[in-house]
Amino acid sequence: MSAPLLTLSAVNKGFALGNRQRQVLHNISLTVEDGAFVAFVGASGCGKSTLLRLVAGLETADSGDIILADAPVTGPSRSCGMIFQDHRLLPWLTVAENIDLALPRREFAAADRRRLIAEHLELVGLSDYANALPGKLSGGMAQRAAIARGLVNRPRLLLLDEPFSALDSLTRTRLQGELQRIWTFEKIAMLLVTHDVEEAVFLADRVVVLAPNPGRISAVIDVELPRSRDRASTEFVALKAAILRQLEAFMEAPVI
Amino acid sequence: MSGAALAFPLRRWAARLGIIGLGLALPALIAVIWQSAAVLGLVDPTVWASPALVAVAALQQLQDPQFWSDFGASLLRDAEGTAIGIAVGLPAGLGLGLSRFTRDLFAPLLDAAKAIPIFTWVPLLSVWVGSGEAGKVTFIALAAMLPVLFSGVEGVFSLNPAHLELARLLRLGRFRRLARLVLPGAAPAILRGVRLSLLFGWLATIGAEYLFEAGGGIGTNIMAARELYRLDLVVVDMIAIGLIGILFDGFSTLLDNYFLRWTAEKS
Amino acid sequence: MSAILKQGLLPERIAGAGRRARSRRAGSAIRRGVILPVLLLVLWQITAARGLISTLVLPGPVQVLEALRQLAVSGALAGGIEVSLRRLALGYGLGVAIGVPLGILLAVSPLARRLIAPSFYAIARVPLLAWIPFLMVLFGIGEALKLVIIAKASLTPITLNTERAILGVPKAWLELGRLLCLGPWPTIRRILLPATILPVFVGLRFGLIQAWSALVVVELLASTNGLGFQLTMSRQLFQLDTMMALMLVIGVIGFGLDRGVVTAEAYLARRFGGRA
Repeated sequence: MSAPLLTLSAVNKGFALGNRQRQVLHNISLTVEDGAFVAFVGASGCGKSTLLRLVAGLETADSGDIILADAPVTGPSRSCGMIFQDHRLLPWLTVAENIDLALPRREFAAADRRRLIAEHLELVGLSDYANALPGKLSGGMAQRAAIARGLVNRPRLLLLDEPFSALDSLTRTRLQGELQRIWTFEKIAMLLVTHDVEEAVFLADRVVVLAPNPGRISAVIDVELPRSRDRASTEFVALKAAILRQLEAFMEAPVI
Repeated sequence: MSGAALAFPLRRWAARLGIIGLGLALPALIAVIWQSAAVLGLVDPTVWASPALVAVAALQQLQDPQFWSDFGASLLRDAEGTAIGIAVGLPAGLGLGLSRFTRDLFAPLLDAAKAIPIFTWVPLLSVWVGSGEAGKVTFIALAAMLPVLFSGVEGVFSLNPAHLELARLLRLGRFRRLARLVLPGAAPAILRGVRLSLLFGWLATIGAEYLFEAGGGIGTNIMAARELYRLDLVVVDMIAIGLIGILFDGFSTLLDNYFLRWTAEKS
Repeated sequence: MSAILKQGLLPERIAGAGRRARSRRAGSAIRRGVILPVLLLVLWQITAARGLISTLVLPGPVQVLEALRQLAVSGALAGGIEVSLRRLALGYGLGVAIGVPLGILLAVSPLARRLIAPSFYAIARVPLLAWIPFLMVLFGIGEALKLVIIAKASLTPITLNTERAILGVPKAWLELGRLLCLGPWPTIRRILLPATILPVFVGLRFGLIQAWSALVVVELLASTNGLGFQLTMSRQLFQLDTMMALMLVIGVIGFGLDRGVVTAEAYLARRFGGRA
């Protein structure tokens, strides 16, 4: 069996807040296979976003190892793309130019870039908006453009930090469907952070429940339902309830 | 067409004329008083040149090649000094904004330089660089440099940290980050600085012409006219100076409209 | 005048993780900030002492301080400062006395605005520097000229900011005053005054900066006393050390005035809320 794509071993991360040290992540250990879809759920303050940022290389762990594609993570890399809650499209560049930003200058010739950008625009359904400025896009469309940017240089892992929480619920549902389609098509591993349990159960193979204060893995629940999942089916509802119960247990626990 | 249908646009036009009329009322009043006082001999006409005399002098100047050559000399000086000032100040400002180390190093000196009224430098510059063209252009460059420098720093400060993080994530190279992120993001502040630099440069040009004796220019002319108590010429030159200021302002607005196209309304 | 040049580069506000980290960073910033001036000062002194550049052109810091001392001792410094500051106070006071009521008038009366604003705008558009020869013809080169110039310099920012301040009072607050049946005087005292005092103060601050600059210019051009005149004199007599000493004094006074106003502004901001 080949080595997993991503391995976290005993990862710890704390931040200085005021004059005190706050432990945000405690002893996180996890493996993710190629092409897997893993969702992280948990209340605010359980370090979900920090975990993603550690994998992306935007922060460094205090201790523990993070191995991505057989190499330790020391900083942002080609293997990893990231989508944020705010689309972070540069407002003065067109959609196509924004996507182009993710393609390193030297590695791609102009013709390749054009092709890749066109392909990914089509993948997310924005072919008609290649030359539009982000100001003209709706929230959902902007996030789709961000997804195209995250995928264009073919990372092995895509990180999504609450990508749909800033959108209205109709758009959110639609984009969840889009994301599933893209994942099925591209076969890229994805780590999704969300506070929407239904979203997690709909999209992921595995749902990791994080407990707060300090952030630690409290449960890992496998979702073995065939896609595309019926949100109203008994199994779906049961899984969702099980995860919610896990989360509620921590709501009542006193904050340390 | 019925009378009522005609009345509305007519009323609107009348209202507009009324507003313009009110605006002109005060200057018109002053002009009338001034002109009558001059005509009636109530004031010394050699000092209080009447509006009529000013108009005549304006027409004369517009036809006088010497006037245009002096005007041109001033503008040329201004262009040289301002170009140097911006060419030095803008990269310096961006560099200071991007590097905390250099900023900390230079901060006290720059804050001190900002506190000194710019014209205080004139006597010193006239000794170090001379009171000829070089001295004037140096002064103009100094005046134009400071606003754009500080606006460069402000521009970098105003960059969205989320964008800077994106640049880190996408591992953007230095040049690409500058061209695609820093400059467009800092553009609003930089353009504000450029607007001030253009204005200050022009003011420094006029002031330099007042204070450094030699050399031709509109500033020299206006002072010469003053000495001869030719108020009519003084007013003509004043208007010319003011018009250039307005022109620079309009040009700055054009720059704004071009570089900030993307800030147009969202759908 | 824009807000760009309002802030200096010194790290007044440093975002940081903790108070200790913040003060550490501020400390190292200040330490670094001291390096260059100290280095330059040392270099300057060495250059002068070794005679690398003629002390006629670049007198050393020690010389400049000595010239400063002599100015102080002879009373010339005190005299010059007194003359200049008195002019500043009178001219600026005049500017405030005209500017604030004018700003209020323009904000409150649409008729006044239509009558006066275009002319005011046209006058403001012609830079002060261009007005100086005109005013010199009309007023000669006596005290009246300086007063008028300094007053005009401060007038524009003060008037515009006052007008904007009053127009900027949210209608919602005025409505609140009506709802609570406050009479005109309580409305002014409890709603309008606190709401406008900060923006008006910003105008006062810019007005002071402009007034000080205008003072220096007019004393360079057309004066027989005051710091600006002393500066010109020292230039003509080729007394570079005195000249640099005077530049120092002018800079310090300008800096001090600005700092004073900033402190007052900060106090008002704390007292009346809102950003300074």
